[in-house]
Amino acid sequence: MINEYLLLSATLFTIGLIGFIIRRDLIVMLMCLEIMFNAVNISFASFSYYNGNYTGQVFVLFSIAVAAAEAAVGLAIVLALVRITGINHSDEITGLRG
Amino acid sequence: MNIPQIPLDFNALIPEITITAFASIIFLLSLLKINKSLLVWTSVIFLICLIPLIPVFEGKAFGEFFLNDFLAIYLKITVLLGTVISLLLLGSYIKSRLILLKESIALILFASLGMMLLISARELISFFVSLELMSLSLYALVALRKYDKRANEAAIKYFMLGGLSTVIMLFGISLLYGATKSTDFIFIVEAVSKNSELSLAGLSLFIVGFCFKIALIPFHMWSPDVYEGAPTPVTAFISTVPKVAVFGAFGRILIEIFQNYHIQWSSFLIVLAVITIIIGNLLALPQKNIKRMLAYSSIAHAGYIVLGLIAGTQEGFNSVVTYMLVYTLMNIGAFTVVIALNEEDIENYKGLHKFHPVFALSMLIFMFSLTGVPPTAGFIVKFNIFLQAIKAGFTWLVIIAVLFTVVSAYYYLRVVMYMYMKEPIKSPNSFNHRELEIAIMFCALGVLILGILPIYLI
Repeated sequence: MINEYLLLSATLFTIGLIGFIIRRDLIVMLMCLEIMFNAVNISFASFSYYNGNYTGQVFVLFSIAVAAAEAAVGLAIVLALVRITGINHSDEITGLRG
Repeated sequence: MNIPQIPLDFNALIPEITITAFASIIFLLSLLKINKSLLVWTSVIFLICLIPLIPVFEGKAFGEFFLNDFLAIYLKITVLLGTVISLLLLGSYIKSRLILLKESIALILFASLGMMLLISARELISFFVSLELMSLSLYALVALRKYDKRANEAAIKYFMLGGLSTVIMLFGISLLYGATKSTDFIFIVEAVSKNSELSLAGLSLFIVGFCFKIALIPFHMWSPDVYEGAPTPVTAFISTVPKVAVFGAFGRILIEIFQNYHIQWSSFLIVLAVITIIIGNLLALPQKNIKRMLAYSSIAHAGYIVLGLIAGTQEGFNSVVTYMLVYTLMNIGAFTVVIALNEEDIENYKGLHKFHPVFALSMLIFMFSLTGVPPTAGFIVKFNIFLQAIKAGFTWLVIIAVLFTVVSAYYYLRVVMYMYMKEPIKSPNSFNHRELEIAIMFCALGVLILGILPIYLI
């Protein structure tokens, strides 16, 4: 039973990771981060069931809260960038190099 | 399913609780029309008063979940010293109207609160939450100049890569929890060897998150861009203080909890340390922007510091802790001179000693210390870390590190050579704020005194 849940979690994590790497739209990259966070949440919840204690489920609550805070900060930064430069693609962010 | 009973003794947490309350009050006050310099000085005086109180609250809180022992106190004092100096730098920036947002003061306080909790956390949930409290405040700090294109670009790069590293590390934590049935470090130590495949998988993902935070090559891509784009006081802050906390917290976990897996994680870190020391120093050579040069230099320094962890002994970790104190002083000091001169191009440092003899002299001290030349403190701590690595049998690693320390002398001493041996091009339009003078004097004297009297070594 635990194997199927972990497989689901690992698959979701990989989808998020691949999306994060190949997609260039900043908002889509943020969404991929959220997918990865939720994959981890599934893994925590299933381990909590398997291990027979509540710690994993408590961790899920904290992780959801942190993910929400992270999404808020990230969206604010993306909005500030788009307002100034009009750039919404990670390929075009090339002001700092060397 | 049973719910463990946790005793409610939070004496050891009192410094953190005080900072939480104080940072919240400062955050609310910054919404009112209050003089910003007043807020900065209030925070500085508050933190200075707090520093001698931290050793008083030695002990444990909430059972075993929060530990405030000697090493944690040492690291926390380093964090608070770095925060105080960064606040002074921020105060000077606010005076010269380069940063208008007053929230910056509260953000720095919240970031240092996250670091203090991170250092003491003995449990994975509080460890993760305090790490995120630190990281989220830092992302916002980098984006402080919200109408500046480069600052936003730096912030987006920092946020995206930092978020990715957080998620990878969280996945590692979930595997560790699955393997050990607990998030409490005491239980993890006992259970970690029973389910070795799963714990090793978790440990490897955990280390990846660690390497992102301290910017070991090849996880360093964010660091030069963030250091260049962020406002310089914030750069001084992120290049030093979070690294103190991250090295302290992660190093402790690696050395105390994963002692049985020392061969596995140290072989991974050895490869990264060698790459970091070689490539970090080589990439610093052609840099023309001093903030970027210091970014690559701090990458290389992370490589040296990891040698102390690779040794895998308690003495090795102690040498890391003392290194962090000196590293904080010398790196923040170098950035302070950059702020005071308001000049990022190394070419414009030519002939500096004619205009600003004090700034030039203190920059010379910081550059010698970063290279590791006696009698500065940088020499003693570097020597100490290399000594511990040799004692643990990594002589070839130390030989590489020493060779590339010599390479690093080229780009550090080039700044000194420009300042003292070249004819000036133009006089830099510098700031002369009292905050900057205090910060520079404190760091320069600290580096010299700690170099002559190494009483702080543990």
